[in-house]
Amino acid sequence: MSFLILTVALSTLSGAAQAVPNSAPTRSPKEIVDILWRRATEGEMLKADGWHRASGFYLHPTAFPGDRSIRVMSNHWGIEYSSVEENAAVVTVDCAEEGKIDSKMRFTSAPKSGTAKTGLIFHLVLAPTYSVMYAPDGKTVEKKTRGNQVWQISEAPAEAWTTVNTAIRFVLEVREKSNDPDIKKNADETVIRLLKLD
Amino acid sequence: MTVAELNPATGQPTWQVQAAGVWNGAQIVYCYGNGDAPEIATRNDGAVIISEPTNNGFPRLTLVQPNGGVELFSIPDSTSTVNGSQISVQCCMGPPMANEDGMAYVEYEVRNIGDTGITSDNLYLFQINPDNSTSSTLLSSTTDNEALLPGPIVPDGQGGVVATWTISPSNPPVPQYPYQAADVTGGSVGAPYNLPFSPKTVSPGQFPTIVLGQNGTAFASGPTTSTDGNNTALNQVVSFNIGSGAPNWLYQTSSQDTLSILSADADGGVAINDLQNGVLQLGAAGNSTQITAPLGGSPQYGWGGNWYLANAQGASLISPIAGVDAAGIWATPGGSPSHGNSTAALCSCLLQTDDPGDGSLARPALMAEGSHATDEPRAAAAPGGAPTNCIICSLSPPPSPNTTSCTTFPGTGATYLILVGDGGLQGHDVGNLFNLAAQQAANDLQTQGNKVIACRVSSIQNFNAAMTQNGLITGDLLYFGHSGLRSFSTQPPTYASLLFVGQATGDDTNIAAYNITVLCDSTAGCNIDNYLSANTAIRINGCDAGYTIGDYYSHGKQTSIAQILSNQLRRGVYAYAVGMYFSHLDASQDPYVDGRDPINPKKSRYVSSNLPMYLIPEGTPGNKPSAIPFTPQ
Repeated sequence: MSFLILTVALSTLSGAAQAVPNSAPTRSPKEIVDILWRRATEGEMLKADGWHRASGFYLHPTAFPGDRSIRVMSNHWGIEYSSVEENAAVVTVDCAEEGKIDSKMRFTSAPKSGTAKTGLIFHLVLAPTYSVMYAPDGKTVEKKTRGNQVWQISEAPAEAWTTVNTAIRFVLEVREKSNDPDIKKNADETVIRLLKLD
Repeated sequence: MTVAELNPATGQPTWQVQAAGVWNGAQIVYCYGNGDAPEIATRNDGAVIISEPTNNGFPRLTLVQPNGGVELFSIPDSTSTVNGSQISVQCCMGPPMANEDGMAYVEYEVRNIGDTGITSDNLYLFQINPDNSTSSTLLSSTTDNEALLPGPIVPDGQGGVVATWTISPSNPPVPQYPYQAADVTGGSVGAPYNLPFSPKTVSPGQFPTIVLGQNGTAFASGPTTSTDGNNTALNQVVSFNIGSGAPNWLYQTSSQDTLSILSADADGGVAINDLQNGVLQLGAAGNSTQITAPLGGSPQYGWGGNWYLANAQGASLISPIAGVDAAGIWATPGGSPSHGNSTAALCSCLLQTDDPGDGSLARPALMAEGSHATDEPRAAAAPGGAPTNCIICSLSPPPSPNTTSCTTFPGTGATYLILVGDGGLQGHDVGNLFNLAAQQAANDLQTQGNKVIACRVSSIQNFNAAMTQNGLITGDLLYFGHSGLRSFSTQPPTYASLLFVGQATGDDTNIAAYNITVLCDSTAGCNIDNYLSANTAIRINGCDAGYTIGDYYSHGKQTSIAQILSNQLRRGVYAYAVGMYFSHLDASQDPYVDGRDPINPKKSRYVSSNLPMYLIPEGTPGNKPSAIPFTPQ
């Protein structure tokens, strides 16, 4: 019974997609990047399920890299600029890379940029989505239907990442769960350093 | 031979030290051959340390105080024993080096020569403390009929230094790795290691050029020999661990080519000049990116952040070619554009640290002006953080985009408009210093009989509203606030030039090429002539607003936010291509180069929250650079 319901649901989705195969994307490039950063700020990009939920934002999504190394960005970030030219878009984000936290909870400051401010450039492309209907075995693709076009970020990150305040919580949680005195000591030092960042 | 300090304003010597003549045959000579001239380092208190590499008449080691007082240091003699007769001689000194903590260092060699050659050779590191007390530490010694030639000294980035030297045997062959180095921290000499260069010959005064990178990495360039069996002399650039000498990567070129290091870069790599292939950026992993075609010479970095290329006419300014690690303390050969063998972050804009305890210049500051650190007291400030005679300090940011928050200082002369941006956020907050500098300007203009309207702005809309809702401005428009470059993490680095008007994030808090049309939008019917007189100039008092760069928001076109403003508002703009700092003295009186603390250059120098207050450009005291004029294009 549950399989039948799933099939019906997929058919419905597929039908909806077919009705508007090339309609305008529902989210602008700026919205895509903004949502991604908000999720990262909430810690979503530190967890496998959050990483997977965000995979649709990327043209070539990557597997969750784990939390061996956490990239820490500034609390203060904002979309500075966005532009769309046909099927390509650029979004720039006003932010600063603060550093990285390794699996032993050691924090390493990011290299100095030499300029007053720093930022990131996101390139996006307009790419189609697909609705897939599977056979009863749950694996064999019976039908793959081209759906709406969406903006997707060309380059996928290689590391889990978040902003400073969420990184502090992450480090404290790891510290709480760990019995390793070195990790606890490193975590204490890292939290002190992170608290000085903004 | 004379070493002199010249007054930058008059060109006249403020002090000088002269060498004694040296007997050469039947006459006294005062000339010096290649490599014999004195070497100089400038300590951060202004004292100058002079070492003489050989015995050509100059004192072995001299320290000259800023007031001209001279102190000579005693360096042990070497000996030469021939047929049982021993004489004492002055042997070899390396170039001095002044570290960021006020310590100065120089190497000296004590060579003992007998009938059969060098019987023993000891190399020492001589340390001059800030109070001019001294100590010596043995770096290396040998009895193998070889000399240990003193080499240059560079900071290790952790408070210590890396001392280098050359093993020079009396008879060939030269050892496989003649260039040696050791990290010296707190008087303790680390294990010596080989620098990965294998030149066919060595000589005094010739040593690889070293710059300090990030995270314990250093870069060196120098001669080596191919290992392909052809025994060819090559040039090589190497990245290595400064504590152990372990190479990270090597970059070599053909035997006819010449490589030279330009700068350690902010991205962890190094920029080099390859005479045959142009300027290259070698990334942290050694990956090579070509930046320019061959230039015919090696560019030099200047204190103002520009690159220059020597040519027949003198020197020409060229486009930025490398993302120099401006906060690095030895990012360019010789430690700084002055080649003064002294540690120096290249820009006082970048001196704020997120962790004073770790001793590092840890991260770039959003705050461009460097003379006020947020952790410093504001003892002179009135309650509320601002003196009562600073009316502008009490202005709030406008409540909404198209509104103004202004105050007027009456006068019968021309009407000036002063716009003051946000002070910045935590860690980069200049407090009321922009307001105070603006108040100073307002007071000075009003004293001259002018009317001054001063407004706080936090966005481009605020800027536009203040400019278009205050009647006709017949004097100048002055901006006090953050400005400068934004770098994007791309390879090669990408830059944009902006006014950072507001401290919040978002697309309208800054002014750049992408939103410049918001200012008096002619397509919406705005006529700038209704708001700015034909003679009105715009004067930007902020860092680097006149720095021309391939602007990302102008599709890579070489420009600056000053030029972009001039084009949009059809008025002349004056802006600086250097950083700026706060001082209680104006640019003609201020005795400093920049906003760094003279004792601890990692810190910014304290200024109180009181008038007078000036925002002045970095540069030689008494000879500060002028604002660059930009005209509409």
